[in-house]
Parts: sequence; C-alpha cells; structure tokens
Amino acid sequence: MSAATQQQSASSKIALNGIRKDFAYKGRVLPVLDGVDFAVQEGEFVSIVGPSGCGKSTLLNIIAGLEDPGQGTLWLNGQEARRPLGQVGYMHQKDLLLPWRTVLDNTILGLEVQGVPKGQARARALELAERFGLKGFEKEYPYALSGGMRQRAAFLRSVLTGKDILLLDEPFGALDALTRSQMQEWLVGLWTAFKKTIVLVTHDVEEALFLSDRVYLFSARPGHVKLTLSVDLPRPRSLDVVTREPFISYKAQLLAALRQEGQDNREEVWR
Amino acid sequence: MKSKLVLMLPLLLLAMLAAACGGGASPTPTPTTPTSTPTPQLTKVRIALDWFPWSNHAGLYIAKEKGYFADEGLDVTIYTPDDPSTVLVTVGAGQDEFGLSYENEVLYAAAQDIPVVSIAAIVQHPLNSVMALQSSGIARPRDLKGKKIGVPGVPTDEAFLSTMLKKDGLALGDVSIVNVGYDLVPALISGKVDAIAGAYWVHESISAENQGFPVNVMRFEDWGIPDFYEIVLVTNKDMIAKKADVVQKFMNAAIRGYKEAVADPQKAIDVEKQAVPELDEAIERPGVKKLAPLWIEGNNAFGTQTEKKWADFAAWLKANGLITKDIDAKSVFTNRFVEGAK
Amino acid sequence: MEVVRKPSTQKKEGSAAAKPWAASRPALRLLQMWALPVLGLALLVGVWQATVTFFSIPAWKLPAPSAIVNELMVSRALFFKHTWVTLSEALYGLALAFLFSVVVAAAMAFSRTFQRTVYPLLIASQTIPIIVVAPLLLIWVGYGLAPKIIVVVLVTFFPLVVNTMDGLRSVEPDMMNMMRTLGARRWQIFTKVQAPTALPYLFSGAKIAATFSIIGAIIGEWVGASAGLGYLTRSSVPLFLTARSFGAVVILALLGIGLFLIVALVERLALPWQYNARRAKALEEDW
Repeated sequence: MSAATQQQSASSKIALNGIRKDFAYKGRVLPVLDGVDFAVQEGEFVSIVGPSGCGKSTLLNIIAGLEDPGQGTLWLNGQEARRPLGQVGYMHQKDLLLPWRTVLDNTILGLEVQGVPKGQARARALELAERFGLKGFEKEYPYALSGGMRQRAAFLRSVLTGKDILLLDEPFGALDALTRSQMQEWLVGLWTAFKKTIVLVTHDVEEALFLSDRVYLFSARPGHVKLTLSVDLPRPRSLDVVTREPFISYKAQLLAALRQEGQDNREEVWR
Repeated sequence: MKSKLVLMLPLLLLAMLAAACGGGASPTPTPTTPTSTPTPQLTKVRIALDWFPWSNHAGLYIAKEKGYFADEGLDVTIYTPDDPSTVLVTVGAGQDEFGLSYENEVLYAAAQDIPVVSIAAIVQHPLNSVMALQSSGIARPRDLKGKKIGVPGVPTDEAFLSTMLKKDGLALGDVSIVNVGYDLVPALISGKVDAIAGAYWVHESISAENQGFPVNVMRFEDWGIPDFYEIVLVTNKDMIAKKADVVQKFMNAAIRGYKEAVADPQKAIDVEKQAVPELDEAIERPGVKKLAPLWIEGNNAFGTQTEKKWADFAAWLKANGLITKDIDAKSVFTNRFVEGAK
Repeated sequence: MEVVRKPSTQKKEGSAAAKPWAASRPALRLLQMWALPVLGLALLVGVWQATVTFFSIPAWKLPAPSAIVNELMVSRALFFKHTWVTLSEALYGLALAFLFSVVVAAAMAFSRTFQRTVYPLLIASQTIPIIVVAPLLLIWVGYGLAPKIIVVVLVTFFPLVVNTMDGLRSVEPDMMNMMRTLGARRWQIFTKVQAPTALPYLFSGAKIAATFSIIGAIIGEWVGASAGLGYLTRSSVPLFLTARSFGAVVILALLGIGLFLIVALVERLALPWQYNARRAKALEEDW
C-alpha cells in the first residue's frame, strides 16, 4: 500500500483498499469482490447500488466484521481492522427482533451485550422511543407491530449501541412504497440529529440519490466500484427534489450504467 | 388431546366386544366319538400350565407322548401362558378346557364367582417354603429376626410369612420384605436378601444347591399354615355340566400318566425331556425324586381331595384378609372324575 | 399503513359477524374446547355400561364402569397411597431427566465433537427395550424407588434431549450474525438467543415426556415393586379383582393427562408472547 493510500485510510472513517474476496462453493472458487476501493469520511452518508449478486452484502459483512477482508485491507476509525465485530451498527432487511422480548427489551440488546445494566439501558431507550415512533408500544411483543415499526425498533437497537458507523442493508426493501418514503425522510432526520456515518446498500436508485452524499455504482459479480457519483443536492432535501434536475440526470446516469452492466453480464451463475 | 380420546374410543369398543364374545364362546365343537376305539377325528382340548414345564408335569407329558390322551380320543395342547395368574381366567372363560393352578388361586377365583372347579390335586402338600443359605445359619422362622426376606410379590407373601413368624414367636414387623419378582434364587445367592419365601423345596432349593449354595428349608405346613394342595387340576363348570365325558377321558389318561411317573420317576423325566428339550435335568431329576411321593396320597389314590383341607385353607385365607367371602368348600372341588377313572 | 395487529382489534370487515360468538368470551371458549371430548367419553362409558349389563358379563371378565367407580370409592385409601408412590417416581424421574437433557443438549449445541460422539449413542440407547433393562436394574441398583426412577429417566430423556437440541439448532443464522455484529460473545448468544429459541421446543418434548413418565413408572414397578399403581394392578390380577385393576388404569390415565396439562399450563405462563401470537393468528383464521 502506498503512503498516500495509507494516509488517506488513517484519516477516513471507513476505508476499503483493494478488497478481493472469493467464496468456495461446491468445489468451485467464485470471486465475489474484485478490487473494491473507496473511503468514507466521518459524518458522510454514502450508498452502494448494484445488480443482484454483486457482493454488496458481502462488503457490508466485511465492514461489520462478519467476514474477513480476503485480500486487501479494511480501515475503521483510522486503524487497520480485521473482523472488527461490534464496532458498527448493522441493520438488515429483516428486523431480526427477538420474538420473546418486548420491543423495549429488544432495543436494549446491544447495550446489554456491552454490559450496561438493564435499568440504565431501558431508560436510554425510552428517551429515544418517541423519536423512533415507538411511543406506547414499548411493552408490546414484536408480533403486534407492523413492518415499519419493527424496522424502526431494529434501528433504535443499532443506534443505541452508540457506534458512529451504521451499515444498512436494504432496510426498507420489505416495506410498501408509502412507508418506505416516510422511513427515508425519517432516516435523514436521524442522520442529521445523531451525526452518524452511514453506508446504505440498496437496489433502489432513487433512494440512494435522495439519501446520500455519494453513490457508488457496483459492477456485476465479481464486484468493484464501476462509477462514483457525488450527489450535489443541498440539504435538507424535500421529497419533490426527485422531480427536478439535477436529480433526474443523476438517476438517468445511474440507470444507464446499470442497464449497461446488466447487458454486459447476462449470465447468472449463482445466487 | 382431543385425538387421544377419540383414538381410545374404537379401541375400548373393540375390547368390550371381544369380552362379550368371549363370554358366549364355547370350546371347540366336538363330534361324538366312542371312547374305546380311537377315531381319526380327535377332540381338541387345551391345558394351561402353572409354569414352564418342570418335573411336576411329567405325568401329563407321558400321557401325551405315549398316546394315552389319543387312546381316549383327545388331542391335547399343553402350553404355558405368559402370566400364570391368567390360567383360571382362561379356564373360567372357556378358552382353555383345563388348567393347572394353585389352591389359593382357585379360592380367590371362587370369591369372584369365576366358574372353575378343582377336579384333582396333583401335588397333595405344599411345595412352597422359606429358604435360607445353610451358611447363614438361619434354620427356623425366629432366626429371621431383623433379616431381609425376598418375595415374588404375590398377595399371599405377607400372610404366609406372618403366620410362620407368629408360630415361632415373631411378628411381621420383625423382618423386612423385599419384592424381588420371580428371581428368587439369584437374589438369595447374591446376598441381596437373607432368605426367600415362595420357593419350592423340590425345585429352587436344588437350583441353589447345584450352584454351590445348599439351603435350609422351612416348610410351610410345619409352621402353622394349614396343609394345602400346592397344584390342582381345574376345569370350568360348563365342561362338567355339558362335556363330562371329555373331562373323564382327560382324567383317565392323566392318571395313567401320573401313575407311570410315580412308578419310575427318572423314566418319566426321559419322556418329558424328549417333549421339552429345554428341561433342566440337573434340577428336575433330583427334584422329581422328592416330588413323586406327593403325587399320591396314602392309599395310592391319585388326585383325591378332602373337603376339610379346602375348608381349612379357605378359612385361613379369610382370616388373613385375602378373601372376604365365605366360600362353600364343596362348590370348588369334586372327586367325581378321579373316582370315576378307569 | 401503521396498523398494529393487536388481538383485540379486528382488521377484516364484517368478520365480527362470522366469528364464533364464543371466541370473545374466554370462559365459553374453554367450555367449547372441553365439551366434545367429554361428551365422547360419556357416550363411550354409557355404551360400555349398557353392554356389560345387557350381556351379563361377569365382573372378572369386564367390570362395568359403575363397578370401577365403586371400587375407586370403596378402596380410595388404598388407591391414594399407591397413586402417590407412582406419582413421585414419575416426578423425580422427570426432574432428573429434565436436568440431564438440558445439560446434554446444551453441550451438544456448544460442541460439534461432543454432539457427534454422544448423539448416536443416545439414539442407540433408545433401541434397547426397557422391558429387558428393568429387571437388570433391579439386580444392579437394588429395590426401592431408585430403579423405578431410573426407568422413568430412560424413557423420558430422549424426547427432551432431541427436542431441546433441535430447538437450539433452529436459530436463524441471521440472528446469530446480528448478535455477533452487536459484539456478543458465544455464551451471550447462547443465553440471549439460542436458549429462548429452544424453549418452545423444550416444552414440546416435555409434554411427551410427561405422558411417558407415567408409563415408565409402571414398567419399573411391574418388574419388582411393593407399592405403586403398577404393583397394585399386578397384585390385583391373581386375586381376580379386575375392577381394581381397571380403577388403577383410570387413575393412571388421569395422571398422564394431568401432567400433560400442567406442562401445557407452565408453557402458557412461560411463553406469553408465543401464546398471544398464536391466538392472534388463530382469531384471524376462523378458529
């Protein structure tokens, strides 16, 4: 690694350098990520968009510490990291709430793991409950909540861990359009208030553009950054920004690149 | 849970129907046959044994193997039921024509109005006894004070022991009773118990001796228990009423077999061994020597019973709470077939 | 669409009319649940009584229900004493089996090696007929309560272990990953996720084990005992007291059902979230 890269990595919140990852599957070796390089600064909101199977989720897993970076390095908070479990907040498409715990007790799960006493943890969660739209449902069990509310509970769980970095893996994919746009607005509000560094993975180009400072378009498998798009729209952004320029050209640019990517890579091997 | 009960329904209905049918069923239909000339069509009858074949069954096996039953026109199936206490039930229900059982069992059955009748006493005196290893020095009931006694877990266990102990100045509370099932001899030999009750002094005692553990025997009738018939031959009232000739034929052949067994016990074992290869000769040969004299009584009459013996034993059972009714001794036995034997 | 699916609110239109009127009154629902089996049983008993009376079946062959009830009343002290013995054998055995099973299942979930070694042996142990083992136990362990309790353990631990282990293994890998991203350590994942996931499965196994425990106690007694309902049944046979044997059987059935219901009740109390979730779902589909 060159000195310049090293310096850049040390000053970034998240830095990925030359990540190459292969998976062994039924005796064959399948490359999933092929040279991913980018850096995220503190307080930024970036999105990763790409076709199915391009390794977006694997990348998040690497940053979260569930997988090792393969070839290449991962830097978190200015230091090289290898499988850094518990250093980021990670949100799935599935809320993964524990059905036997009340909503409140679900949100404090991260704090419990850190050793915070239950009473203290619950108090902290209650402070934020209203902001997360969970007021009045703290004592309910997950089965009684709608999809959107469950996602927000999962969000609260991630936020309460107090980690600066949040990784979101298609968190609104399972929600209907109306709920989704409400959640998107709410997410931006959250990001502004808590000053987190967010990496969002999505297949929804509009969502990526609406929410992020920067969008990374990934190639098909094996994935690498094909196109980096800085979203030059002032904040706060209202919903009607999507009907105007430069949003429309951004969207066209991304969609064109995606279509191109799809044509160049017709064959789907697995996934 | 609902389904559990729903399943029970047809099963119970089946059980009830089976019982209802069993009551009405008659033994296998028999064509009339003249007694003197054996015809190809033999009357089939079954006899349920009291236990697995042992020396006491020699007379029956002689009668079967040497064709005495066939001479009388009978085709006899000898078998041992899984549970010996079912003998009187199957005989009473008519599924078996004959059975070997015990005097106390016949009295219990009579108390429950099961229609069985004892037609011959096979063993005239008790074989049941209390045994202890000679090495233990226990020779009489009062030596059992503070000891552990293994029993087979039948209703009479405590009654027998209590009577014997009382006779020698002890009470039931002076001993501890352990239920060892039917593994009496192993329990005694392994030292798990100091003595056993419910073992036969013509069988279990020999088994222990053969394994190198001679025993002291305390016979029941020596210690206050009324003399009783250890094994009796039974049939049901229906047979006596409707098929007395078949009963008589069976008896004729059986007496022939037993008389031969008394005359030469060892030869009798030879015959039984041929029919039942699993027979343990090491026990049965010395055993039959001791047992054979009990097959006949006094005037060399096989199988006769007295009303007094039945009445006395019934009284003892009642006194010990094993039966609650007064039983008319005359109703549970008959010597008619023994006396009518040719 | 921020509708909260609470059991008391109805989303479907017009479904209030279609819903069974008893659904909203818990007491009546309970009655409805019990009415059918009880009626069925009453019918069965009625037919039984009629058959015995009509065909004049003697008591020693098949006692009438009235005779059985009579015997239960008359000899109730006797039955009580023996019921208590059998029940204690079953309960002690269940408790031991429970402890043993939970420990073994947890160990198997924790260590693949342990699982590969022990699990096949557990399965093999179940193929040995208890009827063969029970007399041997008497010789090895002696007489008294111990061999019966061991038989109960042998008969009940298998459903407990298998169910618990299946429960422990049924955790979604995504859940485990989620915990790991929170920084949870192995034991934390076990206590916070795996164990609670396994709990419903454990209760399933416990319901089976509860009914088996009674059978186990009886088998233990059958082989050699001086007390207990199994002993009572066996000793009633040579005395031809069939009504007493049947009476003991009736009590045994009640014990089995009783234990089952107790486990179900404990389950209901321990897993309120599951019960409510199931009920919510049930109310949606016309129960």
